[in-house]
Amino acid sequence: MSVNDYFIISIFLFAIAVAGIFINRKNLILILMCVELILLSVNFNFIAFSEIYQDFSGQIFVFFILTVAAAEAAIGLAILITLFRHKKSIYIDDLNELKG
Amino acid sequence: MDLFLNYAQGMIPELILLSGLCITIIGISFSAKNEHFVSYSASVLTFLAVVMNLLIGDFSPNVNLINTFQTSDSILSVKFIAAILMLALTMQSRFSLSNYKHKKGEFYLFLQISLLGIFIMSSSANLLIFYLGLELVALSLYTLVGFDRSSSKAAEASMKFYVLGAIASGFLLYGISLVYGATGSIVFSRVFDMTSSQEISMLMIIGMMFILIAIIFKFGAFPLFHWVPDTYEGGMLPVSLLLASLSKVASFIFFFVLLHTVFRNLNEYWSPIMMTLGVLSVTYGNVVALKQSNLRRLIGYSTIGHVGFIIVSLSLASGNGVGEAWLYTVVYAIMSFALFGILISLSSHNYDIHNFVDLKGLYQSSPLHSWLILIVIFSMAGIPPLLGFHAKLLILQELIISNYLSVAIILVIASLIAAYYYLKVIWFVFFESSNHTLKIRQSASDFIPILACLILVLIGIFPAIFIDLMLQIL
Repeated sequence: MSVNDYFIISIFLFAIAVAGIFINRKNLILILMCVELILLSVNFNFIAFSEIYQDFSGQIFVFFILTVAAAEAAIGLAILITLFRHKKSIYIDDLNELKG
Repeated sequence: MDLFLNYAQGMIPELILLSGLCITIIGISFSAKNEHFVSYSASVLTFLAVVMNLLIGDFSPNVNLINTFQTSDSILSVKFIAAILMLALTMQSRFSLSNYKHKKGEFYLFLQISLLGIFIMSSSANLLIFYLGLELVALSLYTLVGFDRSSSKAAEASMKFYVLGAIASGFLLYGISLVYGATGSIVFSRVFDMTSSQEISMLMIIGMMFILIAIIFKFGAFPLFHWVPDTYEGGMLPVSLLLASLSKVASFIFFFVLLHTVFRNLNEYWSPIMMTLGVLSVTYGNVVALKQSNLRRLIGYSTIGHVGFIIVSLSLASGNGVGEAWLYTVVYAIMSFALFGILISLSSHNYDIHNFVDLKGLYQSSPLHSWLILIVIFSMAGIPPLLGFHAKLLILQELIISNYLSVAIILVIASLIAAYYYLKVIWFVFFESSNHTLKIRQSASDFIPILACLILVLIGIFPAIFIDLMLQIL
């Protein structure tokens, strides 16, 4: 595999994640997973470009993205739990209290 | 070691904030369950120390720590104003938090974290550091919106805000990775050099478009504004105040740092897009606000309109509108301090202002609050001689000088539409009477709204010094 192939994989991952967010209209957990997938596709990009330019900063960026993604997922799940306590459901259709 | 101390000298405000944060965490873990005095006083002392340090601290400007962290006079002034706003916000939110029954100490902790994020954003010299600062602000905002755990509206608002925000930061990261792919570096100065020296690659432009999406989301401008009214309605009042004031300062820094310093040479690509979206958000926000019956959603939609003004002024390709946009951001922060401050002092344990109807007969119960609301609303509508008028006028002048006459006309018409719903608020306060009288606590919670209204009136009458001061900053 050449480095360009990794770039194509990254585009595909990004497209799958965005499509997953906008097509999926049911479950919040799936949205959280798709958000993680976006971040992983970014990581692919960074590593591929870091290999092309022989530059370390891309790889360092990847480590920070992994950490931030973990923090973000933790906060997202915490919010999801509070939401579940109130609504007894994690379906997007039940998020209908705020409108207008 | 000397070198290290030299560098650390430029980071003193951040270091004070970080140590204050650690002290606050320790204080919270040792204080009683629903006691927020320790956390509150630690935060106020930290913010005071930061403000004093930025005011009288003696540090050599223009530190540049190996292309990661930089300071300059204008960055220090921006930090100073952000710290003052955060101090006022902390003092005002204390009165509101006593109405909620959940653990309260952590609230101030998140305020400190978001201020730290704003500081890091404004003095970053590298896309990685910038991204980390931005995430610090964003993560603490998601948490704060859902802070009131007993309310299902708050949980729903924070979930929507979180999902949209996470997608936006994913787009931002993808954009950054493409920019890295086009230039081979994440350092601001090197990316800038690459755009000026050689011809611009397609990868670079696509990467910048992805970053534009994230900027529009953080501002809450036209196509990506759905979180704004929801968070204003669902969150607590001090959180809405934070979103209206400090979060707008953070978005301003986002726009300024990335588009006006890093991608300055690409302004023929981003300027028309941002200008169009700014005009659209002024018109859309103000038109949709007309049919709102919920006061908080109305304020949310009017925020979208105000943000449009800031974006239009920022997206002048020449960069002449940056000072005016900064002035507008600060003035809007002062106006929201006055408006939300009044709403905080009117709310109590069993009474929370949500709809217009709740303001009925306010003039009979409390003339003071009614006059304060009159001042703020007139200032937001842009009626002379209040400060909001001058902020709008300067932006319109700059647009006409730069040959954007049609944009200026649209903005004036949108402001006229806005005057209708602003006057509707005044009508409910002064001319509708109701059977029940509000129980108003005459307390210290009125101090900051009164101060903000005095600023709006006095500086509105003598604007020259203040405007010069703000325009000099950037």
